[in-house]
Amino acid sequence: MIKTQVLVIGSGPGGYTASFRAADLGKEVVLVENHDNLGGVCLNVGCIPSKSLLHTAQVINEAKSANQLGINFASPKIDIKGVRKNKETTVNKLTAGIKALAKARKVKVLTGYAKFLSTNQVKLEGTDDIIEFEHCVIAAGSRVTKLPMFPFEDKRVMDSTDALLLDDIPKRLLIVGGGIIGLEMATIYDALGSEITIAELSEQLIPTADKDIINPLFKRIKKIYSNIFLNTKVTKMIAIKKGMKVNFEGKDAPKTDTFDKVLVSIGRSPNGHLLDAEKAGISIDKAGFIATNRQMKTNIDHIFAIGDIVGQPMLAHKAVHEAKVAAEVICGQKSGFDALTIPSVAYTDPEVAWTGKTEKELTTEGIKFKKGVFPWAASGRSLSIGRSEGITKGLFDSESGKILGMGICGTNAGELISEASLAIEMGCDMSDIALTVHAHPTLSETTAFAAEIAEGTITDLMPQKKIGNKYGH
Amino acid sequence: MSTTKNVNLPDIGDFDSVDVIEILVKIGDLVKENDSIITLETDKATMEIPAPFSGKVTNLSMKVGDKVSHGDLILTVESDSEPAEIESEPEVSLEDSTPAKDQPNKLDQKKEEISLDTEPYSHASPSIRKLARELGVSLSKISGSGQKGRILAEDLKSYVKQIVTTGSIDDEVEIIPLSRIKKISGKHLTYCWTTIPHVTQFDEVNIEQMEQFRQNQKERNIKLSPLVFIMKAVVQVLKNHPNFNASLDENGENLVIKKYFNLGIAVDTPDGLVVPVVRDVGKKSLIELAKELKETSERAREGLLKPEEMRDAGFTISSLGGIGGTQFTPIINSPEVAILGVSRTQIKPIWNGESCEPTAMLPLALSYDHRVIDGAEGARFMADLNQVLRNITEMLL
Repeated sequence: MIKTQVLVIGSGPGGYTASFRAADLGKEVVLVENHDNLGGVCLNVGCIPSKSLLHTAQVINEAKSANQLGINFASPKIDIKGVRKNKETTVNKLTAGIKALAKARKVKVLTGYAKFLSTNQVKLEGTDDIIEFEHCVIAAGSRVTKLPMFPFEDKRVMDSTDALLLDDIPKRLLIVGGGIIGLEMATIYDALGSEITIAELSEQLIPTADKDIINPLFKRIKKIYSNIFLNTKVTKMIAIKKGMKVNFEGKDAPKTDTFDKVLVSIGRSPNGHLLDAEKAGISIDKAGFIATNRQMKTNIDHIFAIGDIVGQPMLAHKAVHEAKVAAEVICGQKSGFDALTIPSVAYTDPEVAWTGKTEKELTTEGIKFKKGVFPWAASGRSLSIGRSEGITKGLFDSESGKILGMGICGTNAGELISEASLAIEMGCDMSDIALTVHAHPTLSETTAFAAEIAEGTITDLMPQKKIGNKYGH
Repeated sequence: MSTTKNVNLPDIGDFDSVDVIEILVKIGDLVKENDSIITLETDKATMEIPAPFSGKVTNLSMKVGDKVSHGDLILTVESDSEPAEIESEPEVSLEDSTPAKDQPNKLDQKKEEISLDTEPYSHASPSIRKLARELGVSLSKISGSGQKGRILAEDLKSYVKQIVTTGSIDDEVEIIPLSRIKKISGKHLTYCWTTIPHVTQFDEVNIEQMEQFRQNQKERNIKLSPLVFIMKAVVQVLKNHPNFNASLDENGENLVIKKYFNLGIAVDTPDGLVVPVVRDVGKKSLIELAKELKETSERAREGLLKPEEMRDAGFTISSLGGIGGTQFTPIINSPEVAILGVSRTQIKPIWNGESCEPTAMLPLALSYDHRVIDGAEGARFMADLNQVLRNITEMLL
């Protein structure tokens, strides 16, 4: 029997942050992780390896497009082992780093699958180890959603974890699900040489984002990929010798086609039902989410939950902030999660990022807004890096001018969105952003330009009356 | 299926033998989870103990006055609630994979917890929101002094300081925009107050004679307010002190002496102060003035004055005599150079050379523009006015 003040289940960004914060505030902490490596999905089979491979893809793509600059590279020779190794090195460096951080804080790391026995005890499955805790933080995350209709037993059907292993480079790859994960994997496999087909159920890629900020990405990849089928359902998938035979139902899609490999990326499901949490009396909904209040407390007073397992969006940066709240509340601080926005980023080429409210949400909620859409074709910086397809869209309260949301599509959109997130947290209005001097020439200027358009003070475009509806006026 | 469960006193902290001061349920009651069932009192606080689960009360094991401790049986409940059905295999479908967005955050919070869920949006940065949480302050009660009303750390601190020093705070405020009149006159008053070097001269006038006269007229059913006498007297004195019936030109170099005697009379209306002008006061009788004043003030209160009725005064009188107060310092109505403030008449013991005699004394305050009028001139004006008002027959001169 191990006794501890704080038990944290799961060592992803939420779990390790909660452990470290609680330890820094003087608690004795045990961190339980099911896998050998610390870091959870994000570090091992999510954000980090995908970003490593996306960087590889970017280098390939940039070398390819260098002919526009008057530089011609020969076609790249891809050493897939080398690509894998680079990714693994990055992942290992980071997971080892977390291990070192845990050690330095005297956080006790145990490997095993924790399951609740009661409100104060968990057992590590398959062992006799019982951990008794005063407080617990459940950070057990989510897993890839697997529908029985997809024959995952065949190695040619992959989930995102399999796809990141990069076993080979299929000639024809079908991606089921045009969300962020599917599109990022498409970016990687396309650069490595696969012919990509995407099948998306809804009418737009990344359905939660506004259509206009997806458009520049959509237009670009539509030309590059073999096919993007929207409003299309995969109705059947069977393994044949030649590949995976897939039946589609959709206006543009063929009835059937065969692919060398299929990546199913249709979402992630929370792990709430996999912990015997009912033995601790924790309420869990049907889908597997654990309800918490804004201090991350579950219905059981001394048990907290954070990250993917408590709700959407399933993003590491949300988990990290929730983790600090949980650890601080356990340590008696009056913390609470009151962030006004959690930004979302798709690391595609071009990137898509948005924060605050989307136009769709504002319309549904009946909030009157003004928008300013700046086309990157008018940005000197964008043109000088050989890309012009991006847009920056600002959404502002039509009465007060306060920023409500922002959406960006273009190179480095993920880096650019933080300014808007800060503006939202600080309650800036359009003139605050427009009057802040942005360095020239930068992509970040487009944020100020979007505000200027909404304000009517833009000079970097044709006079506004003439541009008319083209830019949202 | 029903089961009988005991409800024992939970751990309530470092207390033993706590008094039961109230039983909130009786046998047969249906209680819901978290309903309060008993109230305990320690030397520090009272607390209500919630039911840990729902059911029907079948037996009560405590009564008011009992001393109880952790683990003691409070009551017995017959519960027919089955434990919530939890599916062993999660059902996941594509359409269904984004729930929970609304589902969390809805748990009941315990009383001592900060209630983030009810906090409305306030214009404050994340660090200030954090500070407010730590201090247990609702930002919605603070008005920000930062740019565009942003709540700053100083605002939060002074709010807390106010609570600490006064023990409470007037939370309940209402924000009412100023009336149009107040907005306009506010700007003008600020200009007058900040650009004119004011001197205010005080005096008191023995108005026994005037009061006697007024009393006599009253008996004849003619009502005359002291104001009409004051107006008449002022005009009389202005004739000998033309500098007071004047205005300073815009560059402050020339005095414009007025040959007519128009008096501005400050009138209190529900929306604010207005100053209608009574023209040619010298040519009008007391009765005519009384009638005009009554009519003009009524129209002022109804907001019916025309702009031209508020122009071309040479001197203004502001009378608060009907309300009270011993003295006040009136603000000169630029471009005029002087104003007379009238307060409430008081009966004072005045030494008549032999004894103290009860005497009606009228307090007057004369503010004048020191760029135009010297102190000696001001004092002389006041002395002359005093003379005329004291002996109203001088008005006949």
